[in-house]
Amino acid sequence: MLIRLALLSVCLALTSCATTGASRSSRMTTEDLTEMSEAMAQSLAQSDALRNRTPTSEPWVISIDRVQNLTTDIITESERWYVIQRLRSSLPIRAMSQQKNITFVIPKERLDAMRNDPKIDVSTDPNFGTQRTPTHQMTAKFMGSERAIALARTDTYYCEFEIMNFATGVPEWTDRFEYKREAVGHIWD
Amino acid sequence: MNKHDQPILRLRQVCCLLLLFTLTGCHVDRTLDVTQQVLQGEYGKARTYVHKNLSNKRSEREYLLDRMMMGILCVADGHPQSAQVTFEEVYQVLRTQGINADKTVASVVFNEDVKTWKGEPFEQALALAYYGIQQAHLNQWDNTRAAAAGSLFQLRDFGKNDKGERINTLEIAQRSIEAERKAAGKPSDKEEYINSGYAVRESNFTLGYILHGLASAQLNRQQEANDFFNVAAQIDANLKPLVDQLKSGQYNTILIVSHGLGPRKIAYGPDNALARFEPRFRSDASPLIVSAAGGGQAAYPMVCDVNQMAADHMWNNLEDVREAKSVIGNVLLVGGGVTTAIAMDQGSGEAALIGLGLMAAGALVKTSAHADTRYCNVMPQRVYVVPVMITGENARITLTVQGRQQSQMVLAGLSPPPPGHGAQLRYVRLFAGFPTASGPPPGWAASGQINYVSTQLNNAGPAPLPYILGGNDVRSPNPRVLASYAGQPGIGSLTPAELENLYRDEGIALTVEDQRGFAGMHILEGGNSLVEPMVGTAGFTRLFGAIRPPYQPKSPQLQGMIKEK
Repeated sequence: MLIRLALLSVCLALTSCATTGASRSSRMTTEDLTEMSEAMAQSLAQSDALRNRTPTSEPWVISIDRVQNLTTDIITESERWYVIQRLRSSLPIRAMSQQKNITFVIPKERLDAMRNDPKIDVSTDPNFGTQRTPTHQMTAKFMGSERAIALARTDTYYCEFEIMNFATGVPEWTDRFEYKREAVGHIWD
Repeated sequence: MNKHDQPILRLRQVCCLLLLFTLTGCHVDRTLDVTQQVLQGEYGKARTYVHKNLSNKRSEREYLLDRMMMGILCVADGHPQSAQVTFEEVYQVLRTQGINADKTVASVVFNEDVKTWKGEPFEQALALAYYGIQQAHLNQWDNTRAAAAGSLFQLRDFGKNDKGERINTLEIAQRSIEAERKAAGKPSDKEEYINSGYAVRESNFTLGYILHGLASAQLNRQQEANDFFNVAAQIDANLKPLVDQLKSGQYNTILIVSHGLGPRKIAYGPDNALARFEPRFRSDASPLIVSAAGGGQAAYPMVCDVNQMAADHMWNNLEDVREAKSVIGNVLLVGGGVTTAIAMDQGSGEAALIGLGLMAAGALVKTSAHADTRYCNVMPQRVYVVPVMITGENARITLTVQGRQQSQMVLAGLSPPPPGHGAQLRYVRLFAGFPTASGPPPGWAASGQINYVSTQLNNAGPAPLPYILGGNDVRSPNPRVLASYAGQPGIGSLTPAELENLYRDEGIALTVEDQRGFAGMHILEGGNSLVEPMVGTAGFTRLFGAIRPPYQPKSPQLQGMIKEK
């Protein structure tokens, strides 16, 4: 009798551990960010804007701005810099330095943060950051829409990249990357 | 049965009874110290206590409970950066949905604690709001917007009773039992009522709507901001003047002000199977009186009453409404007891063991039937939102909940945000004291003084001296700070590295990074950290508003320097 009870307990415990295999979170994942930054790097490298550029073209100095988050999901500071870092360190982008005479530099806010950081003394270097002089600005904006019912939620994320020419104000290149995440279950449960 | 076997059976019986008592015993309230510290405004001690005792097992309730507490306390103490990792972990759990849905069988039959705890929905919404507030301190308004959006999740509404009153959890339990009886105990129909007897409602979390509006406005999405502000005013008409002020955009500083302690969770009902929240600080409509030195005075309405939220079934997770378990427990206990007694009389060892087994099973179920009364006990009772226009340096702002003199706090040192920065946000947790006590606020809260030289302020006098050397300067050492010590014997001749080493030899950490992302208690309160709370918070007011005892040097180097002086 006791053995039967024990077996029943094990069965119930095992049943309780079983999952349906459905996703429980509609958050963006690191894989999404990696895939997206690599796709954007590829897209930029193959874009019309860069096709005719050579090592002797007029230099482009592109400042990559902080990623703006307009989704309903929190994107941490480290995740934002991860996107930028992935983009900058991707092979097609690194190759641009020599093949297309394009340089990527830190954004102004990062420079200001360094200037105001008491741990980094730049007061003795009047030239700190002056060589940065960006000619272009790259912005990345995450947008999203959310559809939720009692037992499920779907988040659609769009990431829009743009390179704008400071001198003309004209976007030289834009592209967007899109993906969807679904989750089932009550959000409160 | 052999007579010699009887003592063995008695021994088994005693062991079983001991096991039963153990199973029905209470768990320790390990958060008692934290509550006392919070009442005294000692958020530094409270957050470091929680940090030290942080549970790391995700399966335990304390995993989320501790992190919610730590996040809230870090923000209250003016250390939003120290709350970053904590809030990320909280968010990861809260953004995972339906994680308890598959465990219904286990939770009904064995023990509710196997569930991954997400807290009551009102705690979830407030935790997300706090994450948004923490992000706003760091000027991450886009994340504030996302956190606020997350806090506005849909709710379950079981409606009203026959008297037209909001149905309470006991009534939900009764209706649930009736539904189960009608379903003739079929396992598949269990909790049918709880899972489907409600209507889905949009949230009425006014603080979430206002936070969303504030964040949208900072992102230049004014129309969206107005939409969210308007919803808040529709839910609570008292907020209309506040909403009008927010829509006008005439502010550069937002103070999120909280007071008191939220309600405590207590067990009640048959076998204490149900839980409800009981106020610790009473609810009322007292506004927050805000006055600025040289300026006028204004009253602001309460935006969120946590007592009210917790009392509404829409904001409860209803895990306690499984009273059926208690009933099963009673039946098993009675049945088991009868079986054992008969077996003892008839000398049937096997039947007696079965009876004891049933009693033990019944006790297991009864143990889980007792409502779990753990909760996030550092939530405030009320929250206000105050938009302020600060025009000069070192502004002084006085905050008092009307009729509660003890709550008065004078913020000193606030300045307008830097150009191009947008609005700045500060969370101010007023001194709570004790719910029934009256009298003046503590000296540090009402002094309005800044008694020490701060890294954030330009308030060094002509010859500042580090606090560790007997002065009042607690700035982090860097070349600029060192330059201000020029000409002073001993310290004036140090290099930047030597000054840093002086601190390090004392075991004093200089940055949050040095402390693996969590700033410990400040040296002004007897700790080992030089990381200051943000100006304009209760933490900064507590540390810098009081005169602290002199620093006690530890290292021979510092002791030698002081001797030479």
